[in-house]
Amino acid sequence: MTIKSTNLYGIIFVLVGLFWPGYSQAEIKPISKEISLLEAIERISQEYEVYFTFDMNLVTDVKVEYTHESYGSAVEAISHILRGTNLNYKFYDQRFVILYKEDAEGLESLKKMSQHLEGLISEGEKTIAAAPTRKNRAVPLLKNEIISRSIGPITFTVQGIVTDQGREPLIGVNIQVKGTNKGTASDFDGSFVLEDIDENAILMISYIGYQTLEIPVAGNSTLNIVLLPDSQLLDEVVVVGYGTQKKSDVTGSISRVGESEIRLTPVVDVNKALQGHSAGVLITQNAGDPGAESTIRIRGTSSINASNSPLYVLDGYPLEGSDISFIDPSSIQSIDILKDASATSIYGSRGSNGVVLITTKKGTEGKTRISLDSYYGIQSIRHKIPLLNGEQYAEFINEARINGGGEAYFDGSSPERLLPSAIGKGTEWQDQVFQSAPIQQHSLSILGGTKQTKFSIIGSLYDQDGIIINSGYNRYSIRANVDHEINEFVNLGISIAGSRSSNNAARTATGGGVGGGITNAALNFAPSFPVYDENGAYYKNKGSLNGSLVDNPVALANEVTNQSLRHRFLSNMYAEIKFLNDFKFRTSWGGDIGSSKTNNYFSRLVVLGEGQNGVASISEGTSENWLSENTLTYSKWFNDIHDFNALIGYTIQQTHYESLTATAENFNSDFALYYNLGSGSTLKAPASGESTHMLISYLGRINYSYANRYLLTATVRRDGSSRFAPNNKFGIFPSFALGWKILNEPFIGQVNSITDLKLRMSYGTTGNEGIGDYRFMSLIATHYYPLGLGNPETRAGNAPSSLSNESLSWEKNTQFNVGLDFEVANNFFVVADYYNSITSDLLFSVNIPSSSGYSTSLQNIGELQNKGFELGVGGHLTRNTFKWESRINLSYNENKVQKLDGRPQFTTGGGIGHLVVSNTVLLDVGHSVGNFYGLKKIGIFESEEEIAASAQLNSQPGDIKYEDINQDGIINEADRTVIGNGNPKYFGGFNNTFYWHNFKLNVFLQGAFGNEILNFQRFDLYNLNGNNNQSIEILDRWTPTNTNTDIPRANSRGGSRTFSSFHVEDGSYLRVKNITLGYDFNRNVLNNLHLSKLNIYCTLQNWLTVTKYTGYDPEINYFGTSAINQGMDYQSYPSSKTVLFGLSIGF
Amino acid sequence: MDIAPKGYETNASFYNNQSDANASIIACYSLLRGVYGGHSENVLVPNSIMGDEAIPFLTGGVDRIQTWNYTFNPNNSYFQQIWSSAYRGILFSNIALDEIPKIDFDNDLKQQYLAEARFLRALHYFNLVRYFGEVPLVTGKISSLDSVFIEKSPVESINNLIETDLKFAEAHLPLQYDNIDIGRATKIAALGVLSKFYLTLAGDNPGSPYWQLAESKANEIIDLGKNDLWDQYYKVFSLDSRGGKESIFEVLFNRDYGHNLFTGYAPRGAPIVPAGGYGITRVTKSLFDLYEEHDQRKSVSFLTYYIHPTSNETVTLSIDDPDPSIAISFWKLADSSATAGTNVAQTSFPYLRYSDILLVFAEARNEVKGGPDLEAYAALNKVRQRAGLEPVSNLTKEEFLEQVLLERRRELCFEGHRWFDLKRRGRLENAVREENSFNRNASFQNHHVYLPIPESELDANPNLTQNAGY
Repeated sequence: MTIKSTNLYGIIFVLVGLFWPGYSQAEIKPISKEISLLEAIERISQEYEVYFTFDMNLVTDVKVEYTHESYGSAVEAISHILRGTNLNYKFYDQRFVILYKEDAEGLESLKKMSQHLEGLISEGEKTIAAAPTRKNRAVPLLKNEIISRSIGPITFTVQGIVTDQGREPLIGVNIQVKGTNKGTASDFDGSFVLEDIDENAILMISYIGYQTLEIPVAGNSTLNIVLLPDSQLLDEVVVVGYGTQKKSDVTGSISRVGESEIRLTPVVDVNKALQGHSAGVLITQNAGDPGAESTIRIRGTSSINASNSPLYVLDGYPLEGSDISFIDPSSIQSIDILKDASATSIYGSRGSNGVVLITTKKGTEGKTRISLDSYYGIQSIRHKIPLLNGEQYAEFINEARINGGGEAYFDGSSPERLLPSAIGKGTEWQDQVFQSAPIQQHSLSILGGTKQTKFSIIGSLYDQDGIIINSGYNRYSIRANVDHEINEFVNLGISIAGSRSSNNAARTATGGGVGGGITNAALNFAPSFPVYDENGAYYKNKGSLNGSLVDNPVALANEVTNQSLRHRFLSNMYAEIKFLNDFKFRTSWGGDIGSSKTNNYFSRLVVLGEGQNGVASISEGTSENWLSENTLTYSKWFNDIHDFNALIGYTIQQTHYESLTATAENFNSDFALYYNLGSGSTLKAPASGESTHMLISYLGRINYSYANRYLLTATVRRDGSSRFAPNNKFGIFPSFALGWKILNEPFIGQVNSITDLKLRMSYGTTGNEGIGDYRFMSLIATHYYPLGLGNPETRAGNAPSSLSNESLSWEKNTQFNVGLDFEVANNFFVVADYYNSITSDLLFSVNIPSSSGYSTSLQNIGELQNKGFELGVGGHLTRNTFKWESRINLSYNENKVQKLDGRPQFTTGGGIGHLVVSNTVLLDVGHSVGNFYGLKKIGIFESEEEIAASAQLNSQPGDIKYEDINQDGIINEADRTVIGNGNPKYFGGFNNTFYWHNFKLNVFLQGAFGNEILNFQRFDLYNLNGNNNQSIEILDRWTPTNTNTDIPRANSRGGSRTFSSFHVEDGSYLRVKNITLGYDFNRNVLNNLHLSKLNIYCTLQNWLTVTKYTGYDPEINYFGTSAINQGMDYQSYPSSKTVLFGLSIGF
Repeated sequence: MDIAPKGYETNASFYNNQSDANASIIACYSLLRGVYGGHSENVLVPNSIMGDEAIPFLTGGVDRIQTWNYTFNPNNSYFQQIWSSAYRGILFSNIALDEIPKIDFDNDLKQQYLAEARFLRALHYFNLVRYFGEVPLVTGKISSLDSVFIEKSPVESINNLIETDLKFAEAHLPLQYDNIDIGRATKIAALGVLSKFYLTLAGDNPGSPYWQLAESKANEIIDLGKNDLWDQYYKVFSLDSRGGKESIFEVLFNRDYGHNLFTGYAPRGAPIVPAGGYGITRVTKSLFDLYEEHDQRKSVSFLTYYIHPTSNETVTLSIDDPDPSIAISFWKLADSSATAGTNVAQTSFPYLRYSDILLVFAEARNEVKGGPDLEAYAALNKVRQRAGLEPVSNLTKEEFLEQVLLERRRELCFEGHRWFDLKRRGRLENAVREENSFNRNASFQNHHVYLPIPESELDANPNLTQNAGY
């Protein structure tokens, strides 16, 4: 018997699996004293459910002693049969056994095989051992007996290489000719040769943990075969609160985002990495600043005044607050997003906005794997807003003045009042403050370990300059995880992570006018102004051409320093003790320490600091959080059909926060910035603060599975929070869920093509305590008044700041979820979920009569509903060496206010500084949160007759015409109506990866639809009153000769800031967020370089966005995480597009 | 689990000694800064633009323009501010009045504190009743959410409370304070507010008994002899005159807790104030033209030109050019010593000054005596002569009244009185219709003598009804 092989060692590894055809438990042959080693291996394999990997040459013609009854375990059996041979063995994960010879060659092959198995095991998350019966999933195996040269007239030879997606060769892959008993296995290089086969034969390629492929030879003599991991085969494990669970046994709604998706788009923070990858999770970048935060909403807005941010849990440690900017995405293995009550109620009072479980990379047994990932790129502004140039601006100003009853300003009478034609293009202020800027990240990871001790060390550095001059962000982070197994009963481990990030913020999104920021100034400052005056100083203008009183944009960028520095240190250690076979006790203790410091300086060269001769301030905050969690788990599998798992636990967590701010003014020079506050001659009163938050929790969960068909999960958590009054501290949050694995029903029979079919249903309650500390109390605040003769001295007085509310308690969220998981033949899946959640007892800042002296009071009042549908579909298509993998997710959410504080509706929110346009949002029972409320523009008045027949008798042709909603003949606030909504109705992502030979192309689209944006910038850019620069679109303004237009006339006495549909735009967008083209180098190249992996790629981020929105970016959120003010835009930092070049090296 | 804040005392643990009692009174005073200076649009702006003193910045927020031309509605943010800041002051007074009697300390001092709390409460109610008419009468401490839905009370009840409070204040406040406490309400302040209160109650009714009360309270102040006019008008508003002889009651500021009646009212963008003026309002031509050329008050009250700090050119301001950057502006409360910041002007806001008392006396005396007598002339002419005008004589009762009202307009412009003066004399509608510059076209109707109850207040309090006409 010969096995053809092209490798140099002449070794063939095969896997001998379970369940040979024709074998069954009953058919075990009688024990013989001496049998061939091969036969012994086969028996042990089926008896103990282990896989063998060995060199066929080693076992041929070896006889061993085999005594069936005497072996208590696989280890015992194997060591027994190998006695007296020159072979040794190594066990992996209690199921893979490598047999090897203890010589140089043998050790080398052991090394390679181990490495390979390690990879295999780590992908499978070591669950097979825990799930030893998967009887319907026999692994096709190579039977060495049947590999023999058959005699036939046609001789055709095919050779090829089998690799995984990452171009790693797969060793020992079973390649069989369909319908024959001819076959072979791949060697160390993943290559194989099959001789004497039909040129039209079909090859069946199978391998543990990978999807089986059928490939027609079709006359090709060379085949490159890529195998894809089979998540079903290896029973993917998801992280749930306080444990893990096989995905197939999960009854709740959980989305997993894996490493490959997280790393798809190189971004600095985890939230952005999640965007578009999970149904039901809406992520909106608040603005384009380097280090800008994102708003994340899982299944809609569920609270009005309390937090809407999910709970983040990092490797089991629930983080206080929603700042996860310290986490380096490249250190993340996977993220599991818990969405329904069944999944989240184990987190009780912090679960109602969903839970994001982040799992970092852990070390694995075997050779230490070192990899380096680097990218470098250039960012540039994605979209500038087209504005008037100098000449167009001057003409417009003249027209506005004349229409307003004045005279032309640009009349050639002075150097500042040149004729429009003499001004030319003027200054394009956006070009003066925007730049192309570099971005880079380098991360190094070292993962390894022995059987007892495993470790991972990951360090990274991220550095980004901003596309506004003088802005940028950088972060250094390091993490180490160590896990150690003392013996088979006790494990312990520790993780330590630290990060430092520094942000040079550009002044944006601060409100406009005198105190405004760079983008606002760049859009408003007249193009007829120069950057510098004749003395070389920043040109300033406070005249009527600068009615908004904005500062010189270049001065704002250069002379305002706002630097913040954050440190974060997080460490958590655990011990896990197994006892009495079925019990496991786990205790963990950890701390999370954060500090942030913000330094700010306004120099005397900007308006913000010129009056005060420089303003310097420093604010500092430190937080200390500690946690202890203690859980006891009982797992038992009874009578083959009852799978039972129970968990109880006690946890306690506390956060203490302190802050300090100091400010000084009036410096002799701008030299020291904020480094020497004492040198200021005006020292402002310092301020400091403190808050403490504590949470004590008791939790319990039961998972029960009957016959691997019916699943039940019941969870309860009792949480006590320091945020509520003594009698209301504790709340109980239960949930209940059922699952039905329909596929495993006998009546379904064996439908080979369907590999998963499961129905899930859950119902439960979670809570929200996301308010500030001490809110139920009436605190004594300080109020100042100067008294005394001469120079009155400040005296401090005291009065209560609020009414106490001893009945303040939890906000409750009750959610129903039904979902379906469906998968066909490992290459097409559907996950669909419907949910209906109701938040009641809202932590709602209720307006109380201000005749009480107070204006609001935090109470448990009101009800919000979110219901929606989520769909995830994925699959792949393979043709020879070409493969297309695709995933789509789409979410629909409908939000409805069910009950308010007795009022049917009220307006609130959304005012921005000098614009004095507030109460832009209507909260209305029966409708969605986030409705924009204003007048409805129905056109432009064309004639006096039209005006006479309207409700705006004081208008003139060219003015905006509003709809008289209540038809009372006057346009006033009573004519306001809903003119948009800031929350998208639909959103989703569409991820495509194409593989062709060594190339990989990824195209990732993401979008949000059905929302509007309140573009506050339009109050400036379309005011037409000649106070500031305007959008280029106003060239089409109304004039007696240009009447068919949407833009009103120029009028220096118009432009009052009346909020209407004129300021609201369609905010839907579809964005090609990412295009990456990568190349993986071949094995032989890598061998020469002594590398295990080398991948280079080029990425285009944000290069194409389809939208009607005229602002910088439709993905915008001026008010950040505010529940009410979503979808508002004002002078934010513009977003960028990026081109990146990267490489990934494995050593 | 019962975690107490480390940085704050709570309502339950405070109010133990005299120092706490004093702190609760200082808190009451502190709110005056917001009402009369802080962001400046609380009482003053509506008062001056709703009458005939001022024109607001016309391309800004809608609320301000609607306030000016009487197209406002209950959502107006200025009215909401007037309402809620008055009630916040009332709350602080009520808390002090509830807590202080429970604290054990010197009884005279205790009575003084209580009198201060009641004086300030009266002051807030006086504003409320003049702006809104019937309003909820809150006199006790509100400690739970159940007691916040309070109905309107009749104007008489509110006036009764004002009168009782002021009389208590008159009885228990000292005539003057030691240096460090100067600025707190005195007996004279209580008398002064009482006299204005009675004057308001007298209205335009010749036979009202309140004329007598107004006259006698004003006369008490004159007789006490503690007050007098400064020899020059500009001195009234100078930093040195704070707490001085002309002040009856003033709202005090310093650099850390200053006001914005300076940069806020400078011509828009004018580089003569730190960071440039805002031009929130400008002066009406009708007011500006009312002054004779040699009237000292004209140049002190208004900014008519300035020297550009870099070019040294003289920028002449205009009363009718629509450009807000060259508008003639109110300047009497400017603080030229403030070189940095926006809320840093230290000049006092003159809530009530001696010249006002003299004019109250003259007006009331004229009514009581059926015409001007020597004392009435003396009071009126004292004010005129300080301004550099000739004394008047030989006037009929009606002519004297007109002269007093004219002097009030010129002497007290931009001090938050004009709209109240027009209203109590029933002259509001005419004045609003006559002041028609910048196409004001005010839609004045009879119900506009009272402001609408703020919509948010009606929303929050089902027991409240809107004022007639809105």
